Amino acid sequence: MTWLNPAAFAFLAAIPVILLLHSLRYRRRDVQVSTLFLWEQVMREAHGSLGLRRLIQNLPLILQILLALLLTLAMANPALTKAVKRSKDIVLVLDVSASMQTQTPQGTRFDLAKQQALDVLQALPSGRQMAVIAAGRQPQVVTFYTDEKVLLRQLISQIQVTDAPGNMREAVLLALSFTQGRLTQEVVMIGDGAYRHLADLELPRSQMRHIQIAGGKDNVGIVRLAFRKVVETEPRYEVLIAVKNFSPEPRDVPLQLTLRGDRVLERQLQLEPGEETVIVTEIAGRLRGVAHAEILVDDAFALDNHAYGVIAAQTQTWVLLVGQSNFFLEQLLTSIPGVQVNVAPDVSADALPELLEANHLMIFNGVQPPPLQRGRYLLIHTTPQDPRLQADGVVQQPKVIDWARQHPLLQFVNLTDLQIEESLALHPRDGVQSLIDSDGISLMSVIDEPSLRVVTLGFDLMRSDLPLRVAFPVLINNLLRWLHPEGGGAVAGQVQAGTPYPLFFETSVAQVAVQDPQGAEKTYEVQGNPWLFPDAQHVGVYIFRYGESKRYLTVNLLDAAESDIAPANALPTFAPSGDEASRQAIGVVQTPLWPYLLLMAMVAGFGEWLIWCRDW
Amino acid sequence: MAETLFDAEFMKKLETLRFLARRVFRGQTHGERNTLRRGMSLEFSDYRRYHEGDDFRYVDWNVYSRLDQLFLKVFTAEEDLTLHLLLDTSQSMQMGSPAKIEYAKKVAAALGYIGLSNLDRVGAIAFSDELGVPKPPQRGRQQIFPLLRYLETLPCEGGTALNRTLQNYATQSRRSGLAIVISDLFDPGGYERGLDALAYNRFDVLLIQLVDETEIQPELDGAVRLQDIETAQQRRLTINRRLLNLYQQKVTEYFTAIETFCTKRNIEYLRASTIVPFEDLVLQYLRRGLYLQ
Repeated sequence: MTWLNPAAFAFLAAIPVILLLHSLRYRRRDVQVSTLFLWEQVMREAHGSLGLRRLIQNLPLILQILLALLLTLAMANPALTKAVKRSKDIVLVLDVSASMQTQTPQGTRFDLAKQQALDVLQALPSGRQMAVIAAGRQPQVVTFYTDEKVLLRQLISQIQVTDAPGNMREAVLLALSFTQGRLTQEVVMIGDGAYRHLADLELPRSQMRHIQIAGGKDNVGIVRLAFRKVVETEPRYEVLIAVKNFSPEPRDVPLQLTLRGDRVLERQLQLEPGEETVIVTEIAGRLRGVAHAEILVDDAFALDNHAYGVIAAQTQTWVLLVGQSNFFLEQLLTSIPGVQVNVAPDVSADALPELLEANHLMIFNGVQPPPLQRGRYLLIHTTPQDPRLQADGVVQQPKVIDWARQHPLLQFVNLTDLQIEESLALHPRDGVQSLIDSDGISLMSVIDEPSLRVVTLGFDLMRSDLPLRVAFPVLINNLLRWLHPEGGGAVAGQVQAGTPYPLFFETSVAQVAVQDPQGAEKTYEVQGNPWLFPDAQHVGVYIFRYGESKRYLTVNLLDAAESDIAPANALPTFAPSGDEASRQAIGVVQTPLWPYLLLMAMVAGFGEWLIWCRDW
Repeated sequence: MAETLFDAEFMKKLETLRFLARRVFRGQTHGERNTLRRGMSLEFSDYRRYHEGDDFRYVDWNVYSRLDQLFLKVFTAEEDLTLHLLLDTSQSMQMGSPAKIEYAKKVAAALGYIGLSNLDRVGAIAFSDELGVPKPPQRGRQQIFPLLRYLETLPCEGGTALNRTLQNYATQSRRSGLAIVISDLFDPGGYERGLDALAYNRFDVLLIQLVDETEIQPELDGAVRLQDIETAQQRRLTINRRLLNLYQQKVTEYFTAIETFCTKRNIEYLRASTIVPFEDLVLQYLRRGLYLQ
């Protein structure tokens, strides 16, 4: 409480004056009476008790003092100071990841989340704005700041949950970029709390609010599905299926695998809580078509009960080897099934587009390539004509310090004690990733863009012992898989839901008709080769039709973290600490109290007047 | 004091009055008051059959001649009445204008004069919280001046203890008679047991309550400190109209309670205000109440 006019307290001096006047006014007259017992009866009956009698006798004085006190307080102008949380603009981050499809007794988690979002919108003070971000695999801005609640309500209602794993980290970072650290803006996250890679984020807690949606915990899901053609004379395929029980109770899980409707595998699994079973089996025969793995259970999260794959006829991978002859490389490439090698001494810029149509990838060995705009390339002991990756001289006998073991190109590749006589001193810049590091230089770098993939090896294979190592065929095999994934073997396109899928065309294609798992067909304009299909959002089989060709893409969840629908144990907490809370309480409201005091003074004055009239 | 209390005309009027005792008392000597005792007076009372040993002088021979039976004429014996004047001299009797004590002394003197004029024995005693020095009952007109002097010298002091003093007087008095109690009856301890004691000891009781008008309708207003004149206790009070009305209600209830009590005990009760001239009280109110004739 604040006193806006404390000088008025000087009027409290009126109270002693009132007491003095009252004592003079009420100087009692001494009267002798014959007896008091009749008067005592009167006093008992009139006032009940002595305390009440004294109170009533002194009521005029009390009222006068009260009147003076209230008037003084009113003149002192007290104001009730209340720290209020200033209303804020809101960036609403709505979790649309696959786990939000979990069924709860009240509906799906996503239904509850949308209701919470509408409640947040309802509580948004007028004049404040809201932006909405859908946090799927990639954050999507549904709307930027707007104060049109009708539009916001409509947009929130139209948001759909996806079959993809979520990436709340990117969504939160995007949301925070909206707020730009202003205290008048707040990020409100609505989701089930299963956010990966968020705990390590330095979040400004005063600007964050998390609304957790819970419910549903019983789930068994397929977390991996893979097909591999066994390299033998007779066509045989290996199938890997991993099933995990995320429920707190043991479950009996019937599993079946069908290929083009024919049941090719059937198992009965018994899974303890948290147990994962991996089934690897071989299927003989020349297989082709859509494979559907399914577990026949009734749980809260049905999306991961299905997984799809496509086994397609093997395609040829055409490789153009340009430049110096390399015995080890040529022998290795020709020994890989399905790989056809062409050789050319040089390639001009004019001939490059035509060669790109005829070859899936090109290897430039010691020959400077023309400027590269699209395609897949392996450059050995040379550099692309790209400012992002230049060679600054050569380095003698560079030592391998470290390499990116997790990168698909270097998986299972051991480069320990690799001997290199000489290498170009590669200096990768923005957008170029170094995979093999030496002392201050890169020995191997990659440019990875949707339509351009370039792997640059800084040293001549013949001036190192790499071709003699086991790592060499592994590296080349990884190169072929990474640079030409669709030609890698028996399995056609398979991608996780929400991931853009690059589609390579053998010929020039202008339009592609895509049929989604629900059967709806949509036509896309193709603007490059490869062409990125952006809408692989739902689990199932997508069918691409262009010209006379037909391609399949299977989309799966296959994400153990997303299938683990149990409420997260360690949720990010954004409750502001004491200091931060006080910083948030930056709004101060002063409510003047003098009208109430004046009203009470009037009541006291009226009471005094009433007593005076009644001559009490 | 006789000259100051009464003028000659008033005294003449008093001489014409005599007390009416509703109860017949056994007198000490022959007097002017009839008793149930058959005696030797000139006033015929009744006949009764002759019994052996009766005095033949009282046989009515006329009746014998007509009825041939012996009947004796019975005459009423005339004895004197003892009048006990009990005067409240507590400090509360000082109150009023005129003071209640002065009024009470005049009334007591007048009643004593009446008694003495009719050859009754008249005694007096003052009481407050204790019994005062009594003036024993004596008869004869010559006793009027000692009675007046006794009354005149009575001090007004002490509190009031009606029950105790009346009880003591009733038990100490050797001769019953007409007890005239003159008091304001303002005693928080009550009066009932005292009056009961008098009645139990065969006193015919006449209770005269003297009050001042200011005690019935106090002229008080505002903040006052009331002081009991007898106990010196004080009460602070802010008087207003409502309290005055309530006080008058309590006074009325108190008077009504006295009346009810006296009616139940067959005690004559007269309440008089000091604004009534005491001559009127004696000559009119007491006669109207058939206490005097």
